[in-house]
Amino acid sequence: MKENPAALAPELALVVAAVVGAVASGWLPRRRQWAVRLLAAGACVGGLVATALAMLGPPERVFDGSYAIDPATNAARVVVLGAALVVIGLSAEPLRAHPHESEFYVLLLLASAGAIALVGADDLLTVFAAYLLASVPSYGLVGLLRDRTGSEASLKYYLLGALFGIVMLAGATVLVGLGATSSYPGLREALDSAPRAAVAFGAVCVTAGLLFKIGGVPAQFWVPDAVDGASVPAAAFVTTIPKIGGLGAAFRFFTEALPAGRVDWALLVAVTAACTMTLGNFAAFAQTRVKRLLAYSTIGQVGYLLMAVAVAGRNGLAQQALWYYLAAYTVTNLAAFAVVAELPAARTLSDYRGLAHHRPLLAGSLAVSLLGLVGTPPTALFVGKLEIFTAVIHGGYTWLAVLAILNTVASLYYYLRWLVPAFLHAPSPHPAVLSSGGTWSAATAYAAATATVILGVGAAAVLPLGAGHLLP
Amino acid sequence: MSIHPAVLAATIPDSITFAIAAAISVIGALGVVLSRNPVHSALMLVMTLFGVAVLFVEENAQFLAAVQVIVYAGAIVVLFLFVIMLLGVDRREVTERDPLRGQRAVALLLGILGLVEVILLAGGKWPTGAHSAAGAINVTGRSNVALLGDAVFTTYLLPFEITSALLVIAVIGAVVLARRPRQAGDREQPQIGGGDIITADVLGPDSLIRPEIEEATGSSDVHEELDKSSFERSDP
Repeated sequence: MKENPAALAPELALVVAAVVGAVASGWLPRRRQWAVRLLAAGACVGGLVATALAMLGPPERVFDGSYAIDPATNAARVVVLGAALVVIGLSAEPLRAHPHESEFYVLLLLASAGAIALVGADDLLTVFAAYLLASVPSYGLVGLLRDRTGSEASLKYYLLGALFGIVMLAGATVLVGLGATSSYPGLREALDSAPRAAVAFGAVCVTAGLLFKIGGVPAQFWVPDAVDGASVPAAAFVTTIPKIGGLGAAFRFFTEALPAGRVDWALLVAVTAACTMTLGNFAAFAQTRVKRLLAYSTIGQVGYLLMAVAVAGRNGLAQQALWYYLAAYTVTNLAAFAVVAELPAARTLSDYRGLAHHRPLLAGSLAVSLLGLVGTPPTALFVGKLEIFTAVIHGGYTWLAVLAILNTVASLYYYLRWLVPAFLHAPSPHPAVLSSGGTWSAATAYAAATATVILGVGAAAVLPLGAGHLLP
Repeated sequence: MSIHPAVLAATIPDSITFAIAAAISVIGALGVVLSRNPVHSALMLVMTLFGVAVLFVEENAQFLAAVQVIVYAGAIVVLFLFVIMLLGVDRREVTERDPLRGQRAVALLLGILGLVEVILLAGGKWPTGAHSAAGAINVTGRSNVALLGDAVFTTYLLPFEITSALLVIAVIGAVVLARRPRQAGDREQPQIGGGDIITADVLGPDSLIRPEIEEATGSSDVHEELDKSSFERSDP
């Protein structure tokens, strides 16, 4: 059946829960908004169950071929829904009884649905609609607290998003004009005979929009401001979920929509990846605020992820490396943000002095997540990096792999700048700065840090889930 | 240059319609630029948009014509009028003095450049390597409204539905971000901040000076506290 809504059960669960939550938020008293939180978590769990069922079935294209349900889409569903659950967990305390608590969850669900739709979209117009669905709630999430920095961050994010959205739409228009169709298989066929310059223009413009979503150079300006200005839950969201959608969409766009050998998009992505990781890592050196440091760290991580996109289609390794790394990065990064959410008063690196003395378990979680972001065994990102570097070297970009290894070594410096005071320095004279945010965020931090290790140890079982052919 | 035959077959009534609609558009456009009163400018813009809508019907683009009238003439110009009236219509200096030096000369230059570009591009096919596909769409025997409806509700059903989710987000975003902080705790009776509009109307645009805004936002915490307590009482 061409229009089969049941095939979109995970996405529909998110959207329906969001609409119900939005309506309910109009009646719920402020102290009882946990009902919407419960609804959102329920939608995520339901979506995960539906995804598990979809994974058993055969891959298919629905809605007249505009949406593909294949291993990549299912992997995106699992990662996005898992990430949304973790974000809901770590935002329980910071947002409790906030006037806009329900709206936060509603926007989170819609943005998650948008991120999944970005990956599944097999059609340029669907990709753009999904881009908007993933972006517009994010602007709201960043500005939700309505303080001065939040509003500024939201405005910057919105203006850059609107600019890159226009660029992306212009690129999509050119490609649709060249191919007289917007579906990827049709474009792949039609663009083979189209003028090379026009195809390159369209491809570069669409890439620009996706780079904005993932925060890659040259569209990375919003990341530090948005992450630093937003509340911790919104920052945790904005550094993970949109990136999953953007990278998945880029992978599918390059491998499915562009004819092989017509334009050298791989070089473009490789250079972008090199610039992104280098800029992110070196800009993180001088940061003293934890959220800003994590923001630059995510830019560096996006650089590694883009490497997998650069070798997309060259060998079977790239796809499973991308999805494994995305899952590993998501859970590790969220563990770090959960620690930040648990210590709401600690804003700078020096505030973490003596954390190991006061909260040994929390300090352990922080160490696991930060060393995990570097790629220390046995955490998940170690396997992820190994996979990506192998795929890149097999794909013929050895220089990129060497640069990435240098970057990884350099990144150890700024993560240690955070960890060393937490473990070695004497406790701060003001222990209030390390006061607990609440049990939920602490539990989320422990759970996410544990998951990082489990994902790393059990990599052999998880890796094949991200593999499998994309639908043509 | 191979324009589709259907496009070339212009009859005399077609030409007359074109001439009238084009004249309406141009007169409207001149009126937008030359009116002293911004409200008149906005109303002249409606005239231009109607003229262009007639041209669209003439070109068999009925859907585009309807959208033009509903969205542009209906919604966007009304938005313009709201903005003009909120800012005050008596701001004579807006039309008498160039806010940007040399703006008119640059505008003229860009206008001529745009015209030359359109004339050049309309005749060639070098940008994309193919002529426009619109001619072929209009000769399949079905109106383009039907074709568009088909496309939107079959091929592009999913993006269309995603757009409907965007409207939900827009409503939530508008409520969350635009509602005044002092009513943040007041979930039962949302009130639009109409008081400021009245102030601005009566006292002119400069009455809302910065210190007042600062004061209003600075005191929002107090209001929120009050609302919180009143809210607790109404909590069943």
